Parts: sequence; structure tokens; C-alpha cells
Amino acid sequence: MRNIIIILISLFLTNSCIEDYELKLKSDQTRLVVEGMITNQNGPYFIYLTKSRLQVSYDPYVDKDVNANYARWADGVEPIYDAKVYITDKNTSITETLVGSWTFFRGKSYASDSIGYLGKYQTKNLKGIPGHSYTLKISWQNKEYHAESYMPPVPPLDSVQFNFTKGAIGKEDYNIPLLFFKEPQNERNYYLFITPGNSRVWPYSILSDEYLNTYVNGLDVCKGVAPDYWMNAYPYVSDGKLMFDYFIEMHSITKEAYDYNKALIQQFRTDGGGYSPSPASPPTNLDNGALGFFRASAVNRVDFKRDRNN
Amino acid sequence: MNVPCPKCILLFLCLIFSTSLFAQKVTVFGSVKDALTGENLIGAVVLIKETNQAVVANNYGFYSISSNSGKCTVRCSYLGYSTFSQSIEVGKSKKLDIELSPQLFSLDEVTVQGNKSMLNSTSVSKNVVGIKQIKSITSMAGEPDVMKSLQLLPGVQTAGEGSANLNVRGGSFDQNLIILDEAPVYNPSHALGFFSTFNTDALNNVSFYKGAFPAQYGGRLSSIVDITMREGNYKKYAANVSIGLLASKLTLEGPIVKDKASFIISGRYSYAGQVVNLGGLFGQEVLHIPALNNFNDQNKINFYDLNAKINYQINDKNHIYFSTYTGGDRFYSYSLNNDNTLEWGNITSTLRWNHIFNSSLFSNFTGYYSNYNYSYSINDDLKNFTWKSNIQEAGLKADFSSYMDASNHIKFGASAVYHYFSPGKILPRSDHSSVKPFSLGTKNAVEISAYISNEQKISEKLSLDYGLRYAGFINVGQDTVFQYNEEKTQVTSFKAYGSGEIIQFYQSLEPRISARYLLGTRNSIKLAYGRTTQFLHLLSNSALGLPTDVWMPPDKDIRPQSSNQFVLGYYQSFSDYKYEFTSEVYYKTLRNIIDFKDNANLFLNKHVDTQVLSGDGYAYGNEYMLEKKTGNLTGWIAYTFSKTQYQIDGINENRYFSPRWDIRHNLSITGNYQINKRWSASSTFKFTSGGFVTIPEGSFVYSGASFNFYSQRNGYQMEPYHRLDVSFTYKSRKNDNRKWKSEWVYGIYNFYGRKNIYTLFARQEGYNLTSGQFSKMYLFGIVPSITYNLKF
Repeated sequence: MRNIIIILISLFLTNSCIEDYELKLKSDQTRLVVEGMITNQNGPYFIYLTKSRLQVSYDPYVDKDVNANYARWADGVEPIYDAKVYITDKNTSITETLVGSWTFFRGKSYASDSIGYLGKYQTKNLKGIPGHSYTLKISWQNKEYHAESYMPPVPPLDSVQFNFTKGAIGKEDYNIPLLFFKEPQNERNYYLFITPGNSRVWPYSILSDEYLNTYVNGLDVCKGVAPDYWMNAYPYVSDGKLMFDYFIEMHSITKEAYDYNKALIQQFRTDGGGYSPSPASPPTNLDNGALGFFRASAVNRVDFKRDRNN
Repeated sequence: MNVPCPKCILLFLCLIFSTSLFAQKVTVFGSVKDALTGENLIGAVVLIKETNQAVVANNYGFYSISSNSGKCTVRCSYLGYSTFSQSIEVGKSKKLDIELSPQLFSLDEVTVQGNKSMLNSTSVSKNVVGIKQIKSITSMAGEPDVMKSLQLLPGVQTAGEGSANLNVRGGSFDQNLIILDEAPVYNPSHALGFFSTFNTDALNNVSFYKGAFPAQYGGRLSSIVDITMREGNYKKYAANVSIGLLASKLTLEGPIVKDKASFIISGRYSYAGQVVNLGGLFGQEVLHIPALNNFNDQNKINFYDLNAKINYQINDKNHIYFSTYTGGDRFYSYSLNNDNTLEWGNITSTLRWNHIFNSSLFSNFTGYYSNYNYSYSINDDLKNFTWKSNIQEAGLKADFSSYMDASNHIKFGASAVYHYFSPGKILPRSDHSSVKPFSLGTKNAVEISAYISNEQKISEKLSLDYGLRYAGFINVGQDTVFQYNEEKTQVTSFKAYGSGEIIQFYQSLEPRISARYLLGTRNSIKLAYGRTTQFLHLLSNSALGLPTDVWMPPDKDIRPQSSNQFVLGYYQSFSDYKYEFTSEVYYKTLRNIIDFKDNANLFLNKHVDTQVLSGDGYAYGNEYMLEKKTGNLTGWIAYTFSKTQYQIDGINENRYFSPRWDIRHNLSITGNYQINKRWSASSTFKFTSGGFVTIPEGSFVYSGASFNFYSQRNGYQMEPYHRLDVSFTYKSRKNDNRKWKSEWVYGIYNFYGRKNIYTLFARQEGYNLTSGQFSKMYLFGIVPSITYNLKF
């Protein structure tokens, strides 16, 4: 927001501008990036392992490595094939070894030893149960990485109402979903909301119950975040009807997961410039220098189909 | 013949000597004022020719000078005024009120004493900047600015362009005490720092101390900006109107009782938002600039400030003053789909009473009040609330100045201040808001101080100014104090204190000493040491400062900060005192400076102590300044080389790092040239090394978007900054024949349009979230301005 204000003052003052800046980074060490989630929905659950990138700016048309043995050129992320991944349910003391799974890329499926592989490992028998704690262990290149997460329970969603909103000139109309649910007051709860996104909006929103009343009366919490501040993840509406299938997932998360996602959202909003706090790495729950996060969440999901009578 | 007893002769001789000594000490005292307006001339030099003894008029224009002989030739001089000279016969003491006439044009003729002030005085690291000088320095959008002018002095850095904040000798911007007529101003910025809150039309003098300041000042580590307002013309009514591109000003002043009481009211209003709206619409509709496609013209960027003062000279020995300042800002940006409004404002009020006890004892009693409040409203969002914060201060001060004899000038005083902090509260904006009201507990404290100092002339060449300041700070209830575990992740215990109960008491003893040795009539060398303590901290999570930064009193985890500073200086005048050269070397230590841990959560955090880290730092540098104060060409060249390093456990893996204002080289050249009776030109050139910023070590993709990770704090130095400003002032020809005077000021800020980096930032790519991009933003291209001034 600060950026916007400065842009506005300087708009009058003319010619102020944003240009690309060529940044030479010094490091040549890649790090392990882990993205993993266990829910109380039916399995399998997936852990994605990739390598970090050595650059900040990544232009898929310029920077792609045509000799790379993976198909994900569009984001320059190299998947990891050769790790061993284990998940343990601390309450039952059952450990499961995950297996490399089939992935789909551009309509084709690829096995774990093929170029389309995304670095995906999956569970077979594990079932997530709210109230249990789960630990993750990864062995890769002679190093071990660990993380632990508790799965908090999630309150039921009473209803979702849509608030019709007219789009700006030249933009689509959309519906703002308002959530109604009863919020347990005697404990501190955190939530993550996921909706379908698009290539321009990151559809993750977080909520802490710190300032919420007992009954949440129509909370607008599914906006998402985007580099273009005027974009949002609300579903588009045409003639009063939903244009695409839409869903809302309400995940319960721990405070660590809340802080982690908050730092990710900060990276969309603040920029490390003079009016922002000093940028810092998002606070991971993994050890040994790994990046990313491992979480366990209970999920409520509501689906809305697009109106096919258009 | 009888010879009188030897003892009697001795006694008699002693008596003669002693009575002759007593009989011969005389004191001349009074005020120094402008002959046309009656305003005090702060810093005017009064000299007795016979003894070559000189003193400087204080902040109230008062002087007192003693001599051995009853016959005195009193001379008085002040830059821009004709010298005053008068021979008088003094019995024991005589009141001589001096009036100086302003010189219409700046002549090369200069009085020796007038320009010797820095050379002669025992003060180090001090700059006195005249308001006329500030007004002649080119400025952005034609608004003369006190803080921006101070940024051109050696030793002063800024963390970024467009900021009114000062980073003095490695200190953060909250370490400056900015006082307006003795009351502190907490936020000197309008419009996020593009303008400062001081209207130059209402000001008399700015004294700026950068280190080892005299014992009467304290409470902040890095600098004192002592700003005095004008009193108002005692002789006739006057008005001054100024119409500019972004702001307009009006000043009215005049006598209430001629030569005894006067008033001044000065107001300024900025309509920058309306101008931005018009400019943006013009660019969008007429020029079709693509970047403005989403521009919305509902922005409200406004600020105002109002200075009002009234004073009354009751009799020869008593004078009272009442002054008040109020200013406010509003920032409203419609471009986001929500309404976000930032509002903040300062109010200060001062009531002062000067009392002259006798010819050599001057005193001033002050009662003041200062209030800084700021708020942030969001509606139409999931959090539909207003966040407010507030800091208030009420104080009483007594200051005495005793001109004991020709060699000693003793100053002493004391103060007691009550502080009130409201660090933050939120209020829902409507019944439908999902937010419930919440308030961080308010805090109260009492700050006391006392000081004594003496400026002593040891010999013809050596003078010393030594003093001691005592400062104490008491946190009082009602409050709850929490204790945390070592990692500061959990509350281990808490204790509740009742109203008025003492929670904690901090104190410090601050010696200040400086010595000046005259090497000749034109050069001197000085050595100084000062220790300062600052009890208040500003919790600011940005390098440039935002109006939502929170002021906090100290506690067990955020301890009072302190600093030791050593200064060695050399001063020389050239060419009959027309040029003054100053060079200073300083070394400064800083203790208990604070910063935040990574990803700190400051918003309404009851346990904000858990987010704060503290450590130490040091700063050193060389400063050089060559100044020409008289003649058709005036101005200065200032160069600083400096380095600042902080070390805070928990940041940068516990290694030393540069704060953003660690600017190594800083060159400022500013000049004003009087071309002829109508035209004058002014120019400023600034060159600084780039500041240090934090850049990523690499990036990763998570949940379909790109994010950066970091390891080093402020490890990357940006490119150097430089810009040139030029302006021309034209005084209308018709001025000769009419009562009111007008002038036009044409200016260009950033003449050759250098795209100085304002900020470097990382963002995801708008059309592809898994791609990151790194960009630079520059703020100003070429900024022209036109201002019209009218004086009645």
C-alpha cells in the first residue's frame, strides 16, 4: 500500500517509473524446498520436493534450460527424484514411507523417473485425524530434514452467501463469498482459505481469530492476493450466474503455518523498499536450512458448480 | 612624623584594591532586536571594544556583558544587519536595548565579530541556519523546507529521497529532538516526508546540534533541532501570501500594543491530492499514458499547519509568550478497492515567562504540551476498523543563565515532564464489522532532568564549556508488566501495577565538555566529549519512517539507549572572515539500539517486547564545510565521509551490518547568487553513495507462486545518488512604487532528470506468479515548479 501512495504522489510529479533491475546474486548453493500437507480428507497425501532457484527474476522465455531433464521450464524449478520421505503419526506411532507418484503435465502423465516428474511423493494408507500430530523426515544427499505439525480441528461452515459486486469499467462482475460460522472462543484458532486461482491471483487467504466475535457474521475472507493489487480471486459472474466452477476450502492451521503463510502474503504486498520492513525468509518449520512448510489441517470444503444454462 | 603601623597600611591598601575592583566591574545588558520589526535577533554578537569581550544574544535576544571600566564602547553585529556602535558611561549596570537595521543588500562589508561566531564559541558540531538562508535554498515544488535544508549540512544523511527525516552521524531518525519554541514535535513530516511540518514564514531561527551538545539539551542521542518562532512585527501590520503548485501559505502579524505586544498567525494548506487527481486524469484522458489506465481520481492527499503566537512585554523585567502549533495530514487512496485512510497530526502549545532578575541573571520558565496522534482506517475489508495511537507530553521547565563575570557564564535548570502513551487500539467502524474493540494498555511515565554548566574563559586563547546533566525516567502504573522466557516465545509471569505505582526507575548522568583553543585570530581547534541517554524508542518497521510508527517508553526488554561521542574540530576563517571553514572528526558509540526480528508482528501486539532485538553500534566520520555568508554569492560546500555499523544478536547471523543510512560519501553544494536588484539564482547539487539494502539469496516456488529467501541483512550497496536543482527568483519592478511586494520563483528540481533509485523491490510477475522479478523504482524525473509570493 505504501508503494501505491508513493506512486500517486509522484504521478503528479511526473516521469516516476518502475524498471527492471539487473541483480547479480552471489550464491551458488541450492536448497531443498518442501511443500507438504496432510488433511482429514481421504488420501493419498502429497509431499513435493524441489530445489530452490539461483535467481530472483525468472523469464521462462529467456532463462529456460533446454538441456534440463525436466519439463517444468515455465518456472525453472528442478524436482528432486532421489529423496526418501517418511511420515509418522505420533499418536499411533505408525510410520509410512512415501513413494514417488505419477504426475500429470500438459495432459500427459509421467512416472517418477521421467522428465515430466514434479518431485511428488505420496502416501498409501495414512489417514489424517484432527487432534493428531505428524512428523516428516526426509533423507536427501546425505542430509536429514525434519518437521512436525499438529492437526487442529476445524469448525463447521454454516453457510456461504454471495454478495454481487459490479466490476470496474471493462472488468467482469463478481460475487464476494461471505462466510458464516461459529468460532470457538476459548482457544486461539487460525485458518487458511483456498479457492480456485488463476495465473494472476494467488488464491490463499489467512485468518486469525484474535479479533473475531463468537459468531462470524458474513466474513469476506477469500480475496486472495496478487502482484497487481486490483486483482482478486472472487468468482466471476455473468448475468447473475457463476461463469466457472468455484470452491472454498477452509483449512485449520497451527500458529506456525499461519505465520508462514502470512510471510508469504507479505511478499506479495510489501517490497523490501524504504517504507517496508526489512525483508526476511518466511519462517519455515523445517530444520537444516530447508525451505517451504509441512502442515496438517482439517478441511471443510464447499463446491459451487458453474451455471451450465448459460 | 609618625609612621602608621605596617599592618594598617596593608589593610588600607587591601581595602583600596578591593573597593576599586568592586567599583570598576560594570554590566551592560538588554535585548537585541530588529529595528524594523522588533523581532529578537538570536545569536547576535555584542562586544565591548575596550576589553574585546564578546557575548552572544540568547534565544530571547537577551545579552549581558561585563567590563572593568565604566567607559564602554558597545558594538553589536548580526549577519544581514548594519553594525551598531555606541559609547556609554556605566555606573554599576546599565540596560541598553539594541536595535539593528537590516541591510537592504548583502554587502561585502562585514564586521569581524559577526562572522567569528563558530570560530570563537566553545560549541562543537553546531550549525545555525538563518530562515532567509533556508528560503533561498531551492526546494521541491517551490516549498522552502527546514528539514530538507538541514539535510544539506555535513554529517546529515537520509535513508531515502523524499523524506523529511534526518539520520545524523549514524543515528536513526528517532534520535533527533525537534523542538518548536521549547515543545517537542514528534513527527516532522507531512505527506509521508515530501514536506516537513514547519512553515518557514513563521520561523526566526534554527539551531542544529549534531553531537556533544550542551548540558541544557538531552533526551535524544543524535541531534537537537531547536526551532524558534518569530514573535510578530511589533511596529506595524504585515501580511505575506504565497501561492504554489502543491501548497499555499498566508501569514498575518502585527502589534497589539506597539513595541510591547504583538501576534503572528501563519497557516499553510496543501491540496496535493487534488493536483494529483487532475494530473492523473489529464495524463489518462488527454495524454493516454498507458501506466495510468487504472488511475482513479478519488485521492485525498491533504495537509495543513497553523502556527499562532502572541506575546506581551509586561515591564522591563518580564515578558510572556504563548505559542501554539497545530498540523494535520490525511492520506486517502481510492486505487485499492477498499478505502484506506491514514490520518495523523501534531499539536503543541507553549507558555513561557522570561524574568530578568538583575543585570546578569536571566531566567525563563516554560510550561508546554505536545500531542501526536495518528490513525489508520480501513473499511470494506474483512477487518473493518480504525486503528489509533497517541502520545502526549506535558512539561515544566526552568532555565537560568547567569553571566557571573567576564570569564564565567553559568547555566542551570531543571525540568519535569509527564508522558502518556497509547500504543494502539482498534475500534470497529460499523455494527456489521466482524471486529471487536481491542486496546493495548496505555502507559504513563515521568521524566525529570537537571543540569548545570559553565562556559569559562581560562585564558585569552583557551575557553572551556563543561557541564553535567542528570536525567531520570520513572515508569508508573496503571500497567501490567510481562516476563518472558529466554527465547521470548512465552510469557512466564506477569505483575499488575496500580495507578501511580512506580514500576521502574532509570537514571543517567551525562557529562558534557568542550574546549576551544584559539590558534590565532582566524583559526581555532576544539575538542569535545558528550554522553547522552534516550529513554523513548520509536518502533518503526521501516527505514524511512511511517506515521504509524509507535513511540514507546523503556522497559526491561527495551532498555534506554545511550551514546558517547568524541569530537575533534578545526575551524578557520579566510579573506577577512568572509569564508568559514569547519572540519570535524567524530567517533560515536551507541548502546541498546533496537531492531526487529525477522517477520516481526507489530500490529496491536501486547507482547511487542518479544519482537524486539537490541544491540550496539558505532559510527565515525570526517566532515568538512566551507561556507560563504556574505556578498552577492552565498552558500556552502559540505562533504562527509562516514561509516556506521550495528551488531544485534538475531540479525544477520549476529554479524555487524550496515543500517540503511550508512552512507559512506556525502557531498552537498548549495549556493545563492544575487544577480541584480530584480533577479537572483539559486542552485543545489547533491551526491551521495548508495545506501545498503537487503537482497534475496535465491527464490523458490510454493503453492504455485514464487517467493524469495534471504540471508544477509543490508548486504548490497545501491548505486550513487546525485541531482542538481536550480531556481530563479524575480522581484517585480513595480515593487519600487507600491506598498506591497511581489516575487515569482521558478524552479526545476532534478535538473538533468537523473533516475535516482528510490527503492529496489522484488515482486511476483503479474501474469505468471511462478516468475519473480526484481525492479527499481525512481521517484522523480524533472520536476518544475512556480510559486508566487506577496508581501504586504
